[in-house]
Amino acid sequence: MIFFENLKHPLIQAVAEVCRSANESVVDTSGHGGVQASLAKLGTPNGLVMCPPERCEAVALNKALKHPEDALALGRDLHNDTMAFLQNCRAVTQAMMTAKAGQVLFVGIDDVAARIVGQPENPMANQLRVSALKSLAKEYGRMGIKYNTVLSQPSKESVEPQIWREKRDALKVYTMRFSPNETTEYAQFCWSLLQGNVPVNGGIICLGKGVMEMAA
Amino acid sequence: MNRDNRYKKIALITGATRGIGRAIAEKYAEQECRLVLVYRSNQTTADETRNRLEAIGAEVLMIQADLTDARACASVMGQTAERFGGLDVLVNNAGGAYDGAFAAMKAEDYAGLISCNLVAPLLLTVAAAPLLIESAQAGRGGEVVMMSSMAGVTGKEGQVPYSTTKGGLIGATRLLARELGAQGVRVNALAPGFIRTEMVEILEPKMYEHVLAASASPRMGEPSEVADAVWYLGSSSSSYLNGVVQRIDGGFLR
Repeated sequence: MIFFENLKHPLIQAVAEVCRSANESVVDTSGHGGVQASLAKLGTPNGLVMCPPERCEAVALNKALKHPEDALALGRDLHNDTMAFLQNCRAVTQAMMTAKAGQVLFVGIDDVAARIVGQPENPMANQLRVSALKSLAKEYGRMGIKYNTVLSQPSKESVEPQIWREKRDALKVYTMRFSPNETTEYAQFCWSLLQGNVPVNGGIICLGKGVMEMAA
Repeated sequence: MNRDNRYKKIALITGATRGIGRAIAEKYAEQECRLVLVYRSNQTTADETRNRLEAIGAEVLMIQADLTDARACASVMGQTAERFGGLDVLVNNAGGAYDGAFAAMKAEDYAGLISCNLVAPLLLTVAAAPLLIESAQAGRGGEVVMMSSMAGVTGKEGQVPYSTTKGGLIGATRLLARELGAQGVRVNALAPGFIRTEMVEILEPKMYEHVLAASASPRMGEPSEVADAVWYLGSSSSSYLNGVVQRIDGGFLR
């Protein structure tokens, strides 16, 4: 059984589909009152997939820079997002400690590629999750729990073909003649991590065409 | 000629009443900057800090404020502009820690940490942006230094919420640099390792000896060494650095 925070993002939907096709049961915890409520109702899962935020931090920041009254919402949303993330981490860690096994996987979108093609750009949410999962891997890896991050470029299907063509020059920061990967390619990789056989814990795995790297 | 030598920069430093923040304030005072120091609650240490800095000739504006409130951040900038007419450098240094086994923590243990370590620096930078842009366009400054941590870079057991907030600050650094860079404002972060402060001195040596042993320079850093790095990032000497996370950790190897 794999828990998903929600199934809103197309990449997350694809990961869920790959899980189902491998006969793994998929739980959209947003339909059960969230991760904590799902743990109480359904027990400990083999894995938890944490999803990319829906909002765009760059848009929220620019609103706050132009209209100081919007800074309140910027701060509130950042606080609430971080709290919810840590609450879910804590709840699933407590459950997986008892089971002495489990996979926690944050699937995020590379914020540089997202910025180039006009998708939501969330460097704060990405980096705070990366840092938390590294710390958790150091603290609870000894209990058989793995915490990893996948940062993927936006997939081919998630962006209009015209945008991919228009942004080809900008995407040379990754590789010459950039052509995006398909959603299922990323989803398959996430599934391989969720099976728990990959010897990596606290890792940040950057997926995409060309040379990917995380700044910190 | 270095413009820093001709003009008395206006620097706002948060959390300047102790530890690394105090060392940063002293560094800026030695460099004849005009200082705005924001403290949250401890009037006694605020007074001591002001007296010490004024004794070495610094012009100091002390402001008591809760920077987790966006309105308070705006008020701080209003007072800064009123007193000094602008702002050249913002050092978001204030922060706290809450250590322990994450699985045993309660939500209320880390809610305040998120506000103080992550939300407040973001809100203060947003509030400071108009003054920093003005400073950058006048060729005086326009620099922001975020105090992150090696815990935010590499992760640290026993510090899950702390490292989360310091990681978020690294993301905020990149985001702010991208959004303000075109207007001349630079936003960079420092990631100190183990620095000899009150926050570290209360720890048992077994909690950090393995970190020091895994460093190219196997010793604790001094607050003054971090202050030197802040000065560099906040000066024209680093004018082509933007959106970076500078580790200052004695060469931590993992």
